[in-house]
Amino acid sequence: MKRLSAAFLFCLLATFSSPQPAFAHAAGTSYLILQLPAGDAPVAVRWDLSMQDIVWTVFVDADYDGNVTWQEVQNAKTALGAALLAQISVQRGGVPCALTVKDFALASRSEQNFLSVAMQADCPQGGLTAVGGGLFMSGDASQRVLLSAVRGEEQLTGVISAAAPTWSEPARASAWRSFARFIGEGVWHVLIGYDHIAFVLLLLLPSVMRPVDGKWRGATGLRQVAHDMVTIITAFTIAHSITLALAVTGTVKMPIQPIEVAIAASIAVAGLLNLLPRLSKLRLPLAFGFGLVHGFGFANALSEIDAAGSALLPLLAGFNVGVELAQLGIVALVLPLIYSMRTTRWYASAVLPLGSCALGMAGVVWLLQRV
Amino acid sequence: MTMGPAALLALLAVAAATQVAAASDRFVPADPDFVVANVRQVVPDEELRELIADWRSAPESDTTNVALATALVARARALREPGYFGRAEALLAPRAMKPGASATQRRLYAQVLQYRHAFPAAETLLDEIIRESPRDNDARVLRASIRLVRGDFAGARGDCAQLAASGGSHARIGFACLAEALAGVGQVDRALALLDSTPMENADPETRAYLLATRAELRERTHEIEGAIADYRAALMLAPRDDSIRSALADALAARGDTRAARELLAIDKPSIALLVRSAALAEGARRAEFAARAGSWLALETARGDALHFREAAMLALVNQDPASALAAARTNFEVQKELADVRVLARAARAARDVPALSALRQWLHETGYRDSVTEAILDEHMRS
Repeated sequence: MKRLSAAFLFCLLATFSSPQPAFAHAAGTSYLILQLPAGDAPVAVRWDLSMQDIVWTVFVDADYDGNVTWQEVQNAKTALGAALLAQISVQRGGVPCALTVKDFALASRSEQNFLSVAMQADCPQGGLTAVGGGLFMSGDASQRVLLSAVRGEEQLTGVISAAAPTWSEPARASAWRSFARFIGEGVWHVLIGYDHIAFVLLLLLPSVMRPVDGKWRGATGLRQVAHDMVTIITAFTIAHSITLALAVTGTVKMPIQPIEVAIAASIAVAGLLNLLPRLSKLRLPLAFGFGLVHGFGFANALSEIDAAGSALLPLLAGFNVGVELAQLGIVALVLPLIYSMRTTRWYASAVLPLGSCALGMAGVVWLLQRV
Repeated sequence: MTMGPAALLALLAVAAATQVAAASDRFVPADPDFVVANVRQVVPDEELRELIADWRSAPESDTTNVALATALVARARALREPGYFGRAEALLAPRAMKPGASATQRRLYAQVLQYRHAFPAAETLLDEIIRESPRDNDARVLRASIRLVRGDFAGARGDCAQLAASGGSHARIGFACLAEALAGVGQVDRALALLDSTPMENADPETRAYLLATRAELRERTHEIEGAIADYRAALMLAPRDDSIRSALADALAARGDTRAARELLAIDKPSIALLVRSAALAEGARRAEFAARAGSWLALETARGDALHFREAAMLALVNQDPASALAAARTNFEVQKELADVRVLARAARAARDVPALSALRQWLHETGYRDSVTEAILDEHMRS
């Protein structure tokens, strides 16, 4: 036991001098790639495994020289196939599928050659797919299987570990359910997005006023206010819907930071514009222009939500509707208040300029933080 | 629409999962002698095969479990192969938390938890062992190292003092650990005096390397860069496979402006992620891009796997890639878990790059509250105050 004690003390000491062990590569990882067909057609399975993880289970290095050659892999094909089939199970609709090995090849990943095994799962029935089995994890708790599956136009991903040993295909949410769920996500996003609320408020504040001789005067009637409001908010909505759709579909890709900077800038500019009644005609084009920028911001927010199983169209439509509902909610809360105050002297001289200044300054602060 | 650290990291995770899980092209070698992989380091050696055979003959025995797990953990560190840690965990996890598990099994499992950065769980396990057996110095060594990494210098100090007073092989470790704990609360001069008075002559190479590396870090933190480099060099001679000492020496050389020597030091076969990100930071042009890409794939794989081991390196890489927002998000997440010198510095650098005043102020406040001293971090914060 002396050698054991020495080894243990060395390990203990190592925890001090090197508390974060410096490994030569990341821990053992294999990759499963599935093609999930409609109906009960066979499932194509590709499993890429590191030789380092296989050699504990299958004897491959026949000449003991430490190097596994392609010839040695060929010679061990039968043993490899049997071992692999014993380590993986595929089910569809809760019924096990029959797996067969189709061929062996190599794939280059993380600067290593992985054994890439093509398999086919013949399933008695269709339905949702589940993948499990030992997956070479029983002897190594750090093993992970990174799974990617293609279902129609959808790309699904998952991680299988000793703690979560099975991957189950998520049910394809009904279009209506996705739509309803993402309405909630859209509403929630606006409510927690303080900069978006600030921008909408800046669009609202002057909507109950009219520029007369370079000064703000209270609008004469509800019809005039409603027309202004509908025009501005619609321009903003159309614009952010366009860029949200372009970004979510991957048609246009924008880096996050410049978008965040531009959103902060839009708030600062909108605040400034509210102080200059002579430039009020610019409100409409600016609402549209900045709407385009805010759409990319929404796309960033949307990308943070787990949307597995949701089709794109209901997701996008639901999120947009949610954003609009939240905006309308803000309008419904604020408009009656400012409409009732529009003809008072202090609305034009205090509420509008001071409110715009405060929100605009908040935009400047966010801008400086994000540059 | 502003994104916090959690949101940024979530975005990184989504991107990593998509990028990593994607299929790469398959190929069939034309040459049958084509080397698919070198498995020398992962095939069990004779000693390990014997231990596995012993364990299979008595899988419930504490002796066979401890012997095999100890050997696996030792190989994980010596061969720099994380799979051995995974195997040790698979062996220990079902047993170590059960009532009646031996202290040795639990200590080993605490090491595995420490490796996975599950610091609170490891500390809870060690608290339990030390409560049962206050003289368990091995458990104290582990708990002290975890507390130091987490920045719990007051907590570590008690364990270190006990070790220093225990005599034997643990005493020197106790003195060095006490020096680290004292330095953590601002008593750097006292810590250096303690290290200078600790005899190194008869210590084993690993202990001497640890003592030298500890003194080097303290010297570095107090502007004594030449002395620090000399100590790091001596420590690396004694422990040439220790990448944390190699990284620290490379940082010190780079800080002195000796970039070429730092680059040469980092150019080893199969570098760790810590060395890769430093190579990326010190390289130029295409080499920088190559190192950054390699480090980026490594971190993306870890993120996709759900590991959370290398936020420090993720922050360093983001700085190399001139992405201060991501650097700060990673550095903040890292600082919540660990507070070693490199963690403090990368947070300062990321906050400066992101020009994030609250982050710089929070770090200044932490230094003030703990008394932690580091010349480089202080210079960054002072520079910010002046501007």
